[in-house]
Amino acid sequence: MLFNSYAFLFFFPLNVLVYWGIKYVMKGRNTLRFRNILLLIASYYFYMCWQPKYVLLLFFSTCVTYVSALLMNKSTTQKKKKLWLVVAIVLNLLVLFLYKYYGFIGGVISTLLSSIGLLIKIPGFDVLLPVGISFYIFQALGYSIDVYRGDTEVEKDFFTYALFVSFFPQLVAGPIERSTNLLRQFKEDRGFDYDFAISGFKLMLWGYFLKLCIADRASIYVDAVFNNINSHEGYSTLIASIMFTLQIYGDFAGYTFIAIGCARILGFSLHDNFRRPYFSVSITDFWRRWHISLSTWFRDYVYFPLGGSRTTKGKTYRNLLITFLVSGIWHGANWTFVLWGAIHGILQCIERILGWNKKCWNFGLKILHILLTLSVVNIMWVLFRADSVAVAGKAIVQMFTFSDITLGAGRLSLIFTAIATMVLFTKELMEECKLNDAKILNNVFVSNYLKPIFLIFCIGVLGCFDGGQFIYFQF
Amino acid sequence: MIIVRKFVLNILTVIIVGCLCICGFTWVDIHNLKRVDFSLPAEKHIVVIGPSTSANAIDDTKFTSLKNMSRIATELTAIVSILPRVLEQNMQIDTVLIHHDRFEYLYGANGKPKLFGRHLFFRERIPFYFYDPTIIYWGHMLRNVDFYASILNPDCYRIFSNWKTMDDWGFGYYGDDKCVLHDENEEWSDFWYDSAYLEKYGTNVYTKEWIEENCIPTDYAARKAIEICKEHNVVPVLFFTPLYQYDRWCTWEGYCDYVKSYYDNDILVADYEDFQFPDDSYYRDVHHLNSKGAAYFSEYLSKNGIKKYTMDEWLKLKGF
Repeated sequence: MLFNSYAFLFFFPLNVLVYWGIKYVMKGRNTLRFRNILLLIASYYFYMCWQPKYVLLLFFSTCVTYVSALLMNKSTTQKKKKLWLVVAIVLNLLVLFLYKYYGFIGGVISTLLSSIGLLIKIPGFDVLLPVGISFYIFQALGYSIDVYRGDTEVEKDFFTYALFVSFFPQLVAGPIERSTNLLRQFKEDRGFDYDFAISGFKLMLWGYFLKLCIADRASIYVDAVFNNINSHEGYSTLIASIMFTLQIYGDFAGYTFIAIGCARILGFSLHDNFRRPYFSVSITDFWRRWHISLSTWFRDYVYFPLGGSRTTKGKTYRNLLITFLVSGIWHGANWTFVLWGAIHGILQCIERILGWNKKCWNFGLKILHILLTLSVVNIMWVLFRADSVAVAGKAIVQMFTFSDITLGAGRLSLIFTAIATMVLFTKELMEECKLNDAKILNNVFVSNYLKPIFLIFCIGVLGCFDGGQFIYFQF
Repeated sequence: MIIVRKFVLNILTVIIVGCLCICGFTWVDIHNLKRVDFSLPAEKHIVVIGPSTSANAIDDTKFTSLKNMSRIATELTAIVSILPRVLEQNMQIDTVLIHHDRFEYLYGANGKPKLFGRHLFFRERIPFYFYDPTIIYWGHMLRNVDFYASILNPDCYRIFSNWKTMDDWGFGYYGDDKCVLHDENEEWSDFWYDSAYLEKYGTNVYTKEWIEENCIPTDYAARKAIEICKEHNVVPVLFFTPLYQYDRWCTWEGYCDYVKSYYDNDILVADYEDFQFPDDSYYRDVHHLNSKGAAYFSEYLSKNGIKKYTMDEWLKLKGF
């Protein structure tokens, strides 16, 4: 089920009413576990709306990590503990490999073999990529590693743990939650918090604005150009790349804000996933602001175990490169993602060498660095969007081959995207400059009524209601 | 419980006021649209109406007397509602070529009737103003919940614009230089229709019943256009533009059977579906001519005139 589907408009309010209704109708009784089970059923239904059979993978991952954590807890020696952790990791990564990387790796092996004259066809495993598979597997693996390290207590209630892995707001596109944050919240019986829920509603509206007015709008032009790159040149490719920079942010941040908002209305607090990433002063800074839950996951479970930066300079660069290569591969089974991750890693190494990762810039230089970083990120997104490295290369070359501007059929969508982007830019600039604390903006009427009404108006006027998928579902 | 109620009330207030703002904005925009001017130059006394097929096929710069008023990505319905105004503002018009090939009938193929009109609001943003509510097949639309959101979205009305002429709104010749005939994926080729139809009905002969089931709105629009023409003493002509390898699509049997029962004998037909081009480079794709094809075809029509048959003659020509 998509957040921007009409089914969700019925599904979510129904969940909220049932979840809080049971608590207040059955006053005096402890209904927490019952409500958690209802949320679990709702989460599985949410996932099954896409492809019912793939819920088995979710269940499998849940069972494997649940049982391995219990066995780790019972293990008397460190060796046995490690064994159960390895079992959990291998089984989960095996599922990920089969469903996400098998075709890609098989293709690479076939190509390599054919280059030395061996024509061996690797048998195919032609299946649909289960939505959100990388997200829930990483969340479950994070729990296993936390239990192994002793950072979190083992969860003995299967339903509570299953809800942690499958909690519907963040199931298919994050934020990737940690057991230390979300799991404990399922065990606390909290009451309805009006201000918290209203903040969730506002976040949902903001998420819908980003998705419908920026991402889906921009996608009309982006798809027209990138699906037929040979018919476009110069400026139109450049504009399409800028549009994609907006699209991917609107799409992914939009999903995240809706997810966090949904969770808040249900009384749960999820981690922030974006902090105005296009105001970053360097690539290192960008990764502190973009997809924070994934960056911190890789930091804690890949970068630090490799030695992090508390080692020699050479090894630090190696660790950075490995981490970002893995991050690239996490995003998809294609050379474009591998290259995208590698370049981000290399750029961060260069920034470390230049000392840019720690520098405090004055205002003028800060603006210059923001623009420079944004330009580099923009070019790198072309790799992310293109179907192959060849198409990406062609698009990047075309971006700098200036020609007449041909906006074509997407002209109106470009105007609408530009207007929506101005709203986004104003909001983020105010947050970046800490101007959003102004008294008038935090007045109850302005905050709880005027701002949401303005957003609904913008969504109605500028929104694109084609029901486009969220890009990050494929990861 | 009181806090929950307060929360629900807050949200409902915001949503209702937000929607009212959108409706107000939309209403103002519709008012603005009523000023569109439909007048044509005095020498233009033949007009072509239809979807992208005719929008791409007739290059009206090759004619002195003909104006193409077709529009890409829409069916006839987008123009039928304003046809009375077009005819009233242009008393010189004596003939309306109503593009009406079998392709339009086959739109609902693949065993799934197309949700009529939906994509027009979503993708093409043709204002409601250009639709005749009696033609829009409400039955299909009302079953589709997406439709309500598209009505709410004033994007349909091309806000921020102050377009005054038919050309501004995209009605007219649509020249396209591309030739992607052999690059298209299967979904857009004829195989899509034939294989899906074959799978569902066990035959590739489109029957009268199937057409009746799937193509009501488009056909209703064509008949309504004929009715409007007759009311204004203008000659309506069913018009078929060239189609790539038309005989691969389906047989004529079901279509002619259908036409016989729904159209009067006095309707004229101009059939160029099997018009031959020197080679494939004159087509944009299996459905449309490109600008080279449009120029070639339009020059031919301009030079030789538009050959019209009565319905009886045409049916005989087709073997019925």
